[in-house]
Amino acid sequence: MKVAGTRNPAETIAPAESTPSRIRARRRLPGYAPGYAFIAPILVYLAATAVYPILNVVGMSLRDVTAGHWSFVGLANYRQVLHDLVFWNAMGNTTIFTVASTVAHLALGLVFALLLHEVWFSPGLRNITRGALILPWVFSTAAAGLMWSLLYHPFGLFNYLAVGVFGRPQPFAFLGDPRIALASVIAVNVWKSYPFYMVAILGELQAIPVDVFDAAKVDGAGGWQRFWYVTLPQLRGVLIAISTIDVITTFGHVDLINILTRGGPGRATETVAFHVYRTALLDGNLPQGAAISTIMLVLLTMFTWFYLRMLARRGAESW
Amino acid sequence: MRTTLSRGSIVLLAFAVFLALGAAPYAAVGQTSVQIKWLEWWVNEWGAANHAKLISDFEKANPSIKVIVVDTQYPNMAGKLNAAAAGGENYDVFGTEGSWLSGLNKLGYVEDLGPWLAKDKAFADSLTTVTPLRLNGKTLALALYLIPYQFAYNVDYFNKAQLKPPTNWNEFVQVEQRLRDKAAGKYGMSMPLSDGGFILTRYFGFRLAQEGGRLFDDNGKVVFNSPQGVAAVNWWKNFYSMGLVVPGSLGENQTQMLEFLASGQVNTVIDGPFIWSKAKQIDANIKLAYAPAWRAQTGGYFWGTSGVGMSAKSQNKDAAWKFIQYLYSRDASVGMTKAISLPWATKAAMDSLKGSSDPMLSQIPAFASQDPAHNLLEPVLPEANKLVDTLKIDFQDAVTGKKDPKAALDDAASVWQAELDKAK
Repeated sequence: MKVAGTRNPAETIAPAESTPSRIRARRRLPGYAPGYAFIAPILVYLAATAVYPILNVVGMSLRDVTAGHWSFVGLANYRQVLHDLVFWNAMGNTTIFTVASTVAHLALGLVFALLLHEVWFSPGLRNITRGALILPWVFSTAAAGLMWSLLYHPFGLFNYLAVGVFGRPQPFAFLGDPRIALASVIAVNVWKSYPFYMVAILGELQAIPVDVFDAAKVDGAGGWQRFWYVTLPQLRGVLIAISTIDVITTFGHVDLINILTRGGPGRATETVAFHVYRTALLDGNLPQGAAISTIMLVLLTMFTWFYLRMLARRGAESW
Repeated sequence: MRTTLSRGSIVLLAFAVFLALGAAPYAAVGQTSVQIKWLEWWVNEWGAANHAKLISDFEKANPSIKVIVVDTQYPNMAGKLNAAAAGGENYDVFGTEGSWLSGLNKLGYVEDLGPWLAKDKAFADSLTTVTPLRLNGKTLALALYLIPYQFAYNVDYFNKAQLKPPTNWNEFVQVEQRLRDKAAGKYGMSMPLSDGGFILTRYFGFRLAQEGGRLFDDNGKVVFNSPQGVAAVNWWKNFYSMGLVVPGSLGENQTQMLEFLASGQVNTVIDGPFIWSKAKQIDANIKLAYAPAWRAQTGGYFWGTSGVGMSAKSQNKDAAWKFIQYLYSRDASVGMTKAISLPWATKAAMDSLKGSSDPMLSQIPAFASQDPAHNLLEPVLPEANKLVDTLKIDFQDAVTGKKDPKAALDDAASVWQAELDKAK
């Protein structure tokens, strides 16, 4: 029955005078071509913003410049970098910074996630605690760096407590003492980023079926045994994923180092990424900066390949 | 027959109108004036009003030239310039440190100002002998101002504490000891040892000049690791061990030093005369003065500079050169010297210091004239940042006892010599 005010859709599809011969057959793209057509725009974007710059940097690392004229020099820049003690010092700092940050992120994130996963006597208090624990994640790196540089200040809160309250004769030089500067920067990085671990692990914890724990209880497993044999294996996938992401992002940290210490005192907090920034942009030595960047790229690619292999071995679907 | 515009045509038409309206101002400017881009960090240091007056006075005198000011925070300047050089972004005239010039020159970004100076002898003669900053025979920039580094003090605090400004290095230590107040958490001064430029100019370089030492000999060989250089490092090592400077010097920067000074946590500093105009940005009432000229083994002083360069990629070099000439004109150089207590690198500006009542500027003629043979000038170096950084690390290691001072200077000197030999 036709309703007033409506039109039969079939009447609008083809003109009244159309015949089958005037309707052209739709052309279908063969095979996977439609899929590639859909992702073509993002591939173009990636090519422009990722692939081209990477190839440009790799090309720059194989050349040198004099008075604006670029010439091919092969692996000379790499040889110079690999013979430079400053580079190896930066690699050492980066290893310590990355490993310590990742382990601390993991530990803190896991502890807080387990804490929040428990049933609290007051759901309201639990929610407030969860909000407070996520707060560091909200700060931008610049704000976090500024805040912590004030806390670490010779006349800042920490030294006010150390000197004024606990009677230490001299303030701590958190960012000025080569023995503790790197640890001070690691502390800021850990504070800033542990919520990412906490949120990811908490999500995974909440997805674990309760039956698994009930079954373990029935089998007589204690609290620690349930954690070690039930909880941790269930979290393995997410732990590998987020720690790998964390390693990659921490390896490339420049902003926090730049705000807090600019690689000092001496070279105590100079990481590879900051070394690239200093070499390429502050010293104006673009070819060498490009060589160091390429070395970083190779190291991180190897690490990511390792991660993908681990996931594939577990039969998990890679993202 | 009525024609209706399709949606696509309407969009295209609207876009064209938008483009035309947006481009119109630029077209209008292009017809009447040349634009030059001026990249600098000095608006904050000189004060916005002083800088704006400089620009507006130039534009009044040159109505066909418009100056586009690109003000950048000093810590970002080197990166911005290197990125511009690599990416082909043009800044017709730019502020620069001597240490940045070698990198920019390698990238082909810097115009050789030698031929421009040769074309205008009167202008060239108006500059001091140290104004042209040269590297490998090319004049890569002109020093905008000459900075002596000397002890400066908070006048009001010293009057209140009945302290007299020190007239020599021994009195300097005594004053610092009197200023150290453990109970109140006050220190004599702050020493930003994280800054290699500070170490080269204000600490090691200053004492080296007063010990009678040099950075290079007449053949260009690095000689700062001489007995005079070792004496200079030993002096600072002893001073550092007295606990009179704010802790954490190895990680301190100039911004923190200014904060300490403006907040009264320290009341003395060794720095250039611009420190007063910088401190006034934090505390408008602060009054600083230079101590009278000091003498140790000699009366020499270390002089630093920042400069002005022209881009080799500039499309408006004539206009850019006119702007540079204006910056060094008699009116601008004498006026700015008075306004910001910083001696401009022209003969007229240096002459104007005589008889000045400015508590910083009035002392400067003595620094220049009491022992000119032992004055040292901040050099233009190849791979300058690397060399200054090397000296910084070795100086820090020596002052903190990690390395023997002679060994530290020998290590730094060998790195310097290697780079200088490579650049020949």
